[in-house]
Amino acid sequence: MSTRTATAATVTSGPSRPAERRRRRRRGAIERRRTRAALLFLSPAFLVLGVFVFWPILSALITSFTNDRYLDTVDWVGLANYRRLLDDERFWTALENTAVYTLVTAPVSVALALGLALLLNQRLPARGLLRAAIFLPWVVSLGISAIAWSALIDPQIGMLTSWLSSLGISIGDGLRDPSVAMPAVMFVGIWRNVGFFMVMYLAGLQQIPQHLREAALLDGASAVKRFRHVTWPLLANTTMFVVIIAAIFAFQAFDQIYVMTGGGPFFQTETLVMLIYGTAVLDYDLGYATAISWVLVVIVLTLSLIQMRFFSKRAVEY
Amino acid sequence: MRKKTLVAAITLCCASLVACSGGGDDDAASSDGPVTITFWNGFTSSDRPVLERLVEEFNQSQDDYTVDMTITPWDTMYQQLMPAYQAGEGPTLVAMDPARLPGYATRGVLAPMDDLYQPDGPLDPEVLPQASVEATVFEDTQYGAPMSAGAGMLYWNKTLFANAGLTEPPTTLEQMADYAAQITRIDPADETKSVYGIALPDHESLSPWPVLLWADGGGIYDDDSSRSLLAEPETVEAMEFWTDRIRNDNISPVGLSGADADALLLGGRAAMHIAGPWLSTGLEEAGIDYGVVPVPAGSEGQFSPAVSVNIHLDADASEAEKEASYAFLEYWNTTEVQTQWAVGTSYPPNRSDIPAEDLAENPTSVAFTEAVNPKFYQAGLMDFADLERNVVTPTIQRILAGDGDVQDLLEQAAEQIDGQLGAS
Repeated sequence: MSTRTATAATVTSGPSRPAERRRRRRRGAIERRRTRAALLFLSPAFLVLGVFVFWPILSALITSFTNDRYLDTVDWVGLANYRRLLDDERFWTALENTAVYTLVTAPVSVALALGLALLLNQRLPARGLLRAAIFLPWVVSLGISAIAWSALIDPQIGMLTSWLSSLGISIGDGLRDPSVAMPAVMFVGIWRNVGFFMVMYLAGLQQIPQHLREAALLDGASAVKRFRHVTWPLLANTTMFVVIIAAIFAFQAFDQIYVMTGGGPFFQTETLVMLIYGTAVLDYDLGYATAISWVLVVIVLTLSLIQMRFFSKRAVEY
Repeated sequence: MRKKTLVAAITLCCASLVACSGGGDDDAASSDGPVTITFWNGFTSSDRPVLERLVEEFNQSQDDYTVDMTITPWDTMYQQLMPAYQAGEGPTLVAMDPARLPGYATRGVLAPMDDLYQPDGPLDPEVLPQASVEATVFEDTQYGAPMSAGAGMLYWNKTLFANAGLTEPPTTLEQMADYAAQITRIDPADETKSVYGIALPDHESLSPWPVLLWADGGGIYDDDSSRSLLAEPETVEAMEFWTDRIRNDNISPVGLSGADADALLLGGRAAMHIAGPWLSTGLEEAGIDYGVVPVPAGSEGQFSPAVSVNIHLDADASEAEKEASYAFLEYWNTTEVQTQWAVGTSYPPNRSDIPAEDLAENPTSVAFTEAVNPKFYQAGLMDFADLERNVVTPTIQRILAGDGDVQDLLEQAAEQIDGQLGAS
């Protein structure tokens, strides 16, 4: 890009034509060589991406038009797998569960993260410790922390269950109760992500120039007004990033659900990714599983594009 | 400079290609060393150290073959097994439940082992458990050899029985439910202090449900696996009986996995549980005063859930690997190894020619030889695991959670199973 701009600049400065042509040719040759070197250096990354990302995605698309079940014969079935989705109650339940999970966990974790970031951006005693404590769940493997949560809220042997009981709160059959299972996996999802989003917001807050806040303070703006008119608009880019990532994380929810409920009881916590996993890995129905995967890809892509459009209009710079 | 750039880029590219490519063919045996075969199984319980010791003894006993064993929980192993076989990276030998056999045999990843019981073959079918030998046949082809067989029995906690004024274990299913109701003590203030009469798991376990239904004339599949019996009146009646006792008398928590149920028994929080021999060592270590009796009789008969694990061979195994595998199977089914296995794990021995006095060291092992009428809950179905996970288990969970009428839910499930059986 910069080379091109430089070339354009040389053209307008206009020395004699043959000399300019010679220079242009030379520059063109340099540019080509640079591009070639750049492409060569990028090729290992392209190769890895191609083999491990693009090829599997494309291969999954092809599989979604077949009835591949690891059997000897694989037939092309056209859109049959996609048509099957329309009448599959299980798929719609999983889609609904995913939507509910996203609609609850994404806004709640983003709002909590913002609140915590605002709080921990101030001078507080043990601020570093608090930040680290809130960020810690993000660093720990979710699979392992989910095992710990399952043990804590086990209805028969759970420590948390016992404490809650002494406060007069019963969690019934715990994760085996459909009305408790979903809130529990949502809670663990939020608990896990909020620290990461908080760090993103802290970075965003620290980028806001101090003089803007001071100016607002001198003008006598209240804390609420300062947040509404200075902090919040200037955090728009961070919010865009965090909201999109939160939604993508929510759509990909798997680990804690797999560990804590396995999608049960009777599919009440089964998300789309859990359904894809079960259909492909446990039932060997690869054609159908890849069709569901592609539906998920389209949903996440569409949602991300809408969110980017929505937020890019609101990005503010002072 | 140009040349250097080009060389650097190409080197990088090659390096990444090498990094991407997998390791060499590391399972090929070198011509002069022992033949190494891999063996996957899920004996993660108290049977693990016994199995590890026996495999190690096999490796030490001769110089021609080495068994490289990997033990992971059963569900983890099943998740990895099919992708591994499809990628040509599957184990030479794998232990599995007979219910899984059709799914793998149909996909051509297991080798036929018809020569196993021939006169010059390594095993004598006459002394092996007949049910296991039959369970390893799929579409008239022998696909495996018995590894371990037994049956689930009813464990009962003598202390909890005594606390409720009971001294003897139940002999009928109705009595079992009544005793369970008498023992159950729900603590509304603290659930972690409640005691249940029985722990009836519904997933990831040796399922008690087929046995409870068979005993009262019902069932899940008919004997030739052609249709579902879930909507039969006997099944509906039996299921209504247990649902009533569980939902109204709270005799068992709902939605338990096998591990949850084991934990309740081990923690002295449940008085009865139908399980296999693997639980006995844990109960002894936990200091529970327990007894083991056959699963009680129902109105139409008495059954025990048969437990069987068999060893299968990779379809891609080389001749040398097959020879090594057969040598291991022969070793495994010798009198000495089976006696050690039975004494160490409480499983009954695989061989019928081991006298009971040789097992006297472990009375639980003797008790497990007394299971009444063991019957496999496996239907020889290619889609068994799929139907179990997607239809049978969720239906039982919905019924016990009160998420609909028992008859309606069973009829829906039967329709779904019949549809899939017809389709496949």
